[in-house]
Amino acid sequence: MALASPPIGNGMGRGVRDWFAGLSDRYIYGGGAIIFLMLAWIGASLWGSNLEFPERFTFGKALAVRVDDLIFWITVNLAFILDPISDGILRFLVELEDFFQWVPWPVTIIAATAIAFKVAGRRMGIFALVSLLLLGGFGLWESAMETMALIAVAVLISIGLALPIGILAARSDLVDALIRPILDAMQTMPAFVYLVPAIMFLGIGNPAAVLATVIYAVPPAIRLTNLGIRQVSPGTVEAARAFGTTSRQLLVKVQIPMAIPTIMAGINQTTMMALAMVVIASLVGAGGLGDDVNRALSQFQPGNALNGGIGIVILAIIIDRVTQAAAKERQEALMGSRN
Amino acid sequence: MKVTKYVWIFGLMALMAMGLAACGADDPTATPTPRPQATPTPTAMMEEQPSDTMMAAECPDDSKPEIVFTDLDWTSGLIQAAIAEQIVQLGYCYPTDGILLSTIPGMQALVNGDTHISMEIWIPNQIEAWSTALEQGTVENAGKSLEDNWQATFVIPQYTKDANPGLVSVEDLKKEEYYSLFETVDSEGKARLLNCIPGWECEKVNLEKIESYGLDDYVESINPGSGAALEAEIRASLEKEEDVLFYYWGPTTLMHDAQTKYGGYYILEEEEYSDECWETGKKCAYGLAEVYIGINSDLKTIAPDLIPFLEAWDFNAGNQLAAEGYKAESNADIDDVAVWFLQNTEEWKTWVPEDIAANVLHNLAG
Repeated sequence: MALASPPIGNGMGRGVRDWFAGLSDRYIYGGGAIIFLMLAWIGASLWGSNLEFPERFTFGKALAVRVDDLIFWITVNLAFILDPISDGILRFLVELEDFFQWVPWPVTIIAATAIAFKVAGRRMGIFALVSLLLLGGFGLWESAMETMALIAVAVLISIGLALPIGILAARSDLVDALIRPILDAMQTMPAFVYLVPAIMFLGIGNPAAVLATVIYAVPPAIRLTNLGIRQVSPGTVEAARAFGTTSRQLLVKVQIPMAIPTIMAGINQTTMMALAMVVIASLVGAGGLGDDVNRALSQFQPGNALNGGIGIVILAIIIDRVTQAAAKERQEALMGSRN
Repeated sequence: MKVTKYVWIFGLMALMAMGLAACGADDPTATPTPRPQATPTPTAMMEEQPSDTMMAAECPDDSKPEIVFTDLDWTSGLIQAAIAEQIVQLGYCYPTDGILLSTIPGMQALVNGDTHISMEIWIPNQIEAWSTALEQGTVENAGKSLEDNWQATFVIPQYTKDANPGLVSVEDLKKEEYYSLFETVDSEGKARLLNCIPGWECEKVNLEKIESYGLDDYVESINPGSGAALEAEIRASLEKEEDVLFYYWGPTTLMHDAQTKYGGYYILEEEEYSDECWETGKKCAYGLAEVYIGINSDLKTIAPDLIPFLEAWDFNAGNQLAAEGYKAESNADIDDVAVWFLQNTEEWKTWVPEDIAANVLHNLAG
């Protein structure tokens, strides 16, 4: 930049700068656009339209072959780590699913209604009761419980990952800067891209589905844990320090409790995103409502697909309202104690 | 500082523009109008073979109607569509397009007339939708597609067979030493069978077979979710040399690879297909699937010359294995496979008139 900014007193440099300084951005961008079009026109007449990138500089295919090899290598050589993980997830999920199926549906509905009533109020209680009965009426009860088991496992794993990573990111700007692009990639990478490797690594069925769901759903929980802790007011932190807290005490007794409403908002978003993944998860053999939708579409039965879709929406609304109300309650309790 | 940055950008752009303009002026071949790319230009053809009068003035000829293919989203479907598309575009000189679709939307697009040609209508899996559309007169059969195909409910890798020579027929799955080979965490103590794609006819057929063979207590059907997932799971198992029991079909890239890279596969013995057994519990092997080329009825009016070509189309095992084998070995794109197929095999030339075949080869070279 030293070159670009001539020393004061250099008449030439000053002149050019003054000339540009008088121009507003509008002219600069406008001029840029005109030059762009000129260049494009000249280039197109030189090289023709649809100019291809020179093949000798392309490396996508060669790279892709390497990635394929790597995936096979991991599949074979890391099986001793991956297989126990897969079996563990699967065992846990099978147990949880069996439990959900074991509880008679009237008991489940009463429990869900009671929780919705207590946490989110009378209207939500009534909504939960009616919509869960509706779910049964659609003939989707079993699928819904399968989906709930999948979501529960995915969300639990997500929380288990998000809290430590979020806390680390809140305490270190370096970690924060490192994980941010990774989280962006996790949220935007099309799920189909990592579904096939997920199957290779973990096998068909629920473990791969859980992995894919966690990849997609964990970022908001990490981001909001990070944000929640960073948002705790400096005054509060200073006051706590003044009383001689260790940094561990500061985290566990001040920052995390005060961040809990934000963390819960993150978990709420994570759960919603996990629910949004169930149809994609069904493409790797996860059962439940997603499978109902997938199956209906492959047989051209839009009506059945809609039933399954409504089932997912019902679950989403109940979970969303209840967790939001819980977060709000917590928030109000915090505000109350502060006043 | 901001302004200085713009000065540099402006300066650079202006320099580039001047440089390019200067080069342009020096280059006698440069013309201000964009040149057509990618497709061979008619002038280039004329220069090479001025005596050849068979060549169309323009190929593809934009005044002809566009022919749209359903690119079905599996290997043979894509390869067949790509080869046919090249012939229609470079031989018959129709502009072409392809839309990537899976089975059900693919059928719907053909019925609606959004696409004109679908190279693979698998009758057993789509029997209801296809017969309804045939009755309504919106679609027609344009002859046989793939001929040599198989599907089987109980396939195992050859290495599993070699290690367990006694595992010969479906009935052997009732023996603990054999069904326990395929046991996993989620198979409830039974053999895990990777079933067909959910919602397809073969899924129901396989379930019916399990029941009529009395295998309910020994075999647990697992839903793979999708074709891609099924293939990935089998590949991973083959790569790890794990024992795996699966439904599959061929010829396919996966079964080709199983044969060439993983020592082969073995199909558990079943009674041979017969109509009687199929109607009573399906206690026998699958029969050959009928696969047709489907066309939207409009094709007969907009491009009648394509009908004899499609009817002569014969993508038999030799052709299919050549194309899919080349794809598997060279890791080539589908379009490259089509070009390779047209340049290196002979049989397709009998499906079209001689001048069309010459046209295709000429335009490929150009």
